[in-house]
Amino acid sequence: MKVRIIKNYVQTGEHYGKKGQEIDVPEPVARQWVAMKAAELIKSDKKPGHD
Amino acid sequence: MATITPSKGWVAKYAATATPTTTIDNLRSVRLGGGSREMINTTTHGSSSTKSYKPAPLRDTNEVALRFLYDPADTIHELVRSHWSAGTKGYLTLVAPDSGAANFVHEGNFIDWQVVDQDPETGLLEVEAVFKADGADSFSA
Repeated sequence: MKVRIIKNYVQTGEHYGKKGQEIDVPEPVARQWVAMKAAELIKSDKKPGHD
Repeated sequence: MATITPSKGWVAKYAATATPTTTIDNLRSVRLGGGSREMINTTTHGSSSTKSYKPAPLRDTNEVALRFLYDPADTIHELVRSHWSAGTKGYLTLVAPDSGAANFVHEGNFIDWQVVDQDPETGLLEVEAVFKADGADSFSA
């Protein structure tokens, strides 16, 4: 799942990212980062022009 | 039981569900570690005077030893004891006292629970509980 990092740094095992980065990580990692308020999900099903 | 320790150092939070918000009160000490990685000996006959190593791809999961002044009437103290006794999975978060509130998030089990001391003056009991993560910890800062 694609996430945007919102804390300065977050890491789970080999997956890590810095603030502002948008990266693709496995779903359990993404869910945990969101629960930790370290990242937010980037919805990929948005239509262009609709934020 | 009134709060005896000041709000310095680690804050440990534990719950039966993810992202715990309930604090383990009267925490005396925290030992975070155990996630060691083997080094594979890569020395060959072509090596010079010193052995050489490379890191193994896998490391162990973290282990956290917590010491706290035990109050059987405290909800979270009792949750820790009962989870250890029954082998129930739980979630442990350690929050560092830095300005960014860096935290380590673990899920796993309490694998040991011991009453290790009692204060001769006050009679307070000190418990050491050891938590072993069942997978990779998450760190954020």
